[in-house]
Amino acid sequence: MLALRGRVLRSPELSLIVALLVAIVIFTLVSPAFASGATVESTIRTIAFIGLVAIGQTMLLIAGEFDLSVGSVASLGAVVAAVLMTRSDLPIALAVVLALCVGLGVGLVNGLLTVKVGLPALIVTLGMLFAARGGAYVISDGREVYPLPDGVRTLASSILGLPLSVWVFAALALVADAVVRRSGFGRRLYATGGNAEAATLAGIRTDRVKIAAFVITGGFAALAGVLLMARLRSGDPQIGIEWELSVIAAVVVGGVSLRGGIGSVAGALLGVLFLQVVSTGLVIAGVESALQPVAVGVVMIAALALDQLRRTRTA
Amino acid sequence: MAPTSFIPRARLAAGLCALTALFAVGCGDSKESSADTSAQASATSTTAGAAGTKECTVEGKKIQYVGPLKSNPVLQVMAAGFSEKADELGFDGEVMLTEDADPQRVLALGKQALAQGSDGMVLQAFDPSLYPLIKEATDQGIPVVVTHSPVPDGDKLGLSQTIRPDPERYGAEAAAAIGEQIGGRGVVAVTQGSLNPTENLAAESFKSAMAEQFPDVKVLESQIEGFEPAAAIARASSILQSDKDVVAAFSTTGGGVKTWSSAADESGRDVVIVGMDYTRPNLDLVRSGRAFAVVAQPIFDEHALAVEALRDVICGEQVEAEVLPESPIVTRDNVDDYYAILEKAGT
Repeated sequence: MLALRGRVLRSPELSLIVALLVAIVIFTLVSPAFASGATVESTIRTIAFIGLVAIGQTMLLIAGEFDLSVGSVASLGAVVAAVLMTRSDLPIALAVVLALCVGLGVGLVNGLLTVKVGLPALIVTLGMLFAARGGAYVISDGREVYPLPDGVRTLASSILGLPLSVWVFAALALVADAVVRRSGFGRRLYATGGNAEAATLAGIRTDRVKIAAFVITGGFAALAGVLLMARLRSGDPQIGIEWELSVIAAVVVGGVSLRGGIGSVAGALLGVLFLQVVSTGLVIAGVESALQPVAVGVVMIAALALDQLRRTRTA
Repeated sequence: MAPTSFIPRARLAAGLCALTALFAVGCGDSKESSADTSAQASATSTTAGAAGTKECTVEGKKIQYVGPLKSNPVLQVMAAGFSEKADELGFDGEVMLTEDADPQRVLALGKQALAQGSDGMVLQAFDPSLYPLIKEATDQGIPVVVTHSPVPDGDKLGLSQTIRPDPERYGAEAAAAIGEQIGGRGVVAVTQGSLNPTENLAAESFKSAMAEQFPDVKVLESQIEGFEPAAAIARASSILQSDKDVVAAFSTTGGGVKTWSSAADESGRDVVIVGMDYTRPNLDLVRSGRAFAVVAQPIFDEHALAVEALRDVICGEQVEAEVLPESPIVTRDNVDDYYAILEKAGT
């Protein structure tokens, strides 16, 4: 028992799993509908998009930076893909690839401005938040790009009862977790975020590592936007509104440090799942609409406080 | 609940005569107004005193429509309502819309309109910072009609008229449409884009009208769906899971039709959905049967009526301080009328 308690205390993932189970039990007791298959499926569908963004953000946070423009980049990716496949009449696959390139490009600009020019990531990515969202509105003429070609349905098709977006998310989550935990690139991320000076002395090109993490983050955000566009069957410039804060909150709840060098993709995604479960549970439990953000905020602060306590005890 | 008539019959008749006379003397072109019957009836309500109007011409007078969001499809429909009626009445009408929703830019554009010369202005005064523009115009003797938003103490600013949708009324009409469609039984969900006075009023009015007309229908507490599509769908799905008896949903925001139809599809539920605004995606959902109806805020008609009000004021007529045109419920039966308006607006 003590050994189990010790493991839970040492592992942010395990402690979050325990918190998640507690939340599920509480919400199920309040409303048995919470444990239904439909609720589980709806939750999985929802976290696929924000989860993709969280994967990139986690890598970036581990490297010691963060990106506030992810929601806007998702919107830009969706709108660019939609416009290219409608107004420009490009093949769907090419439109999607170009939209992903836009996301990667925005990430590259964020990375270069932050790392090479030396501007704070807060300012750069906040500016990009507005620029990318504005760009999405300009490109879409401020309206949904609609209708999309029928072929877009392929991107939203179901496999074994779950949409393609969920499978893409699951596959990329597994790959990203393995890369971060086991690859040389993953080790360089931790080293860069943990102590950039020491990492540089050890021969790691920390600037390249950070720029790569920015680029990956932009690419994942655009991919999330494109997949959501396919689900909605329209390029909606409102896609991704406020994702930036939701994602950062979720990954931090999942044990990723804002100071860099600490965290995992698995933990971050558990954080995303945890916040979605709380959010869904509050609706199903019939909590008054205006009180729900308060409850989510309290849960987030409590989760962070517990995590800090755990770190202090295990230090 | 029977729709309230805002039009005294005598004035309606006088107004119709006046319009006929205007056509006869060639004050307007022969293009037919696209506004629906009720809107046309409302339009004539602003035309008091037919004799004066008959002799008055506004041919060539300069009027402007000043507002935000040039590219927004809703604003484009509004602008189309203004332009069509201005052409019809012989005004030299100009649409002046900003790229974004920044009220300061709208203010600057409004000042530009005054500087270049104006005989009347239709203004989207969606922000209090635009109220001084109303005062500035009316101090110069330029009549101003505000559309779509209420202006507190508009008379002190010299405002001629406010024309806006009535959330209390369309909330009640949505309740009537849903109540009838579900046979007066079941559970109905309500969602809002955000907590704001207009949506709150629509949601509250929906609930009270349902309780009054269909006492066997249970209306759930309103929930915030927000404006991000994925989060909104997740929220609607959660509501559907929370109560297996939910058979209908009313959303007070424009994205709600898509939100609820996606949630219903993904949950495999049959839900009677009523939302706001006749955008093309929403009309397609109504036509396909994935949504039951949308509430058509009278965005086209408001602006046509505003031009008529300016004509009346310029011609020395009295106009009502506030006009609340009907917001029709658009179902498959009348959806084509609204596609036609979108075509006209080029959206």
